[in-house]
Amino acid sequence: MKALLEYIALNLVDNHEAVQIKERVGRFTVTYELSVAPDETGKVIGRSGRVAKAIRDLMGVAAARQNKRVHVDIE
Amino acid sequence: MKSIEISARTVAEAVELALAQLGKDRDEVAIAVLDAGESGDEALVRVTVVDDDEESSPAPVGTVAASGGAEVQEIARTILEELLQRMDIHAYVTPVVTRVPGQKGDVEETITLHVEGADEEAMGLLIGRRGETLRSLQFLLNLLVSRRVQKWPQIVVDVGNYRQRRQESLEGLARRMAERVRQTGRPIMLEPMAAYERRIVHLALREDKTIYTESTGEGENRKIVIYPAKQ
Repeated sequence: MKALLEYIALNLVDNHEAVQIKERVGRFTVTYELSVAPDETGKVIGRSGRVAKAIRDLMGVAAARQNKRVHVDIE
Repeated sequence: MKSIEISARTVAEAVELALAQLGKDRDEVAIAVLDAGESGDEALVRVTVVDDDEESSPAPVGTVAASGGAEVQEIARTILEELLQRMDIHAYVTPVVTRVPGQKGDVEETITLHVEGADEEAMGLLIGRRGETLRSLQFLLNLLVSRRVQKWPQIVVDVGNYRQRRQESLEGLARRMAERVRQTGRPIMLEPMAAYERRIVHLALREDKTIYTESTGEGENRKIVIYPAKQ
């Protein structure tokens, strides 16, 4: 799951060093906190959150494969 | 250069059959869709062996490989495979290029990536409720590819022929609801749909003069209403 988020994030932004992913694994839910360079947050959120929604949908598939739910926070 | 044309129920099946006949892998051939088989017809594809053993130099092949779209197609396919792998989904990706004459006598190319896998549950997840996840996958793929090729590539992603099946079921729904409107004389409001799905419904009922269709509502909530024709 983390590999998917990492892959998407790194391919959406230019500043790779600033990409950080924190993972908190619960019993049923996994929570990710994704942060990128402040001037690049728009690239992972998109107009009216369209990119963020797409990321969450795909992360949802990856989570469902492991019978879990996932939460992705973008800051 | 060896080339065969094969028809089957779907594009993916035709490709599969052609590959089996040629004894080649997907990366050894160029695939051209001659008929996508969308109007209930069989799909027809031409598969050409790209790197034939008998020819030492890789000859420029067919229309597909020769076009500028070949590079985009490969990038798109690779990215989609990398995404699927990280979602823990085992599937085959087959790129096919469809050409339709454009408005100014030029040729418009559409790249469709067909995703197929044996795991029905995984394919269902990929499609999501009413194709929502498939839309997200297609959008994100276009975004990722566009960052590599500096333009919006207009790639279509289909999973297990979902788009075609969805079109058929929408057309069926449209006709059944139109029939009900005719019988009751009362308008019926359908559930909210995406723009291209509403288009399918409008088109399916365009010829029917006993009713007419209109879209109402805004954004995510936009839906079609079928009215009885004005007397």
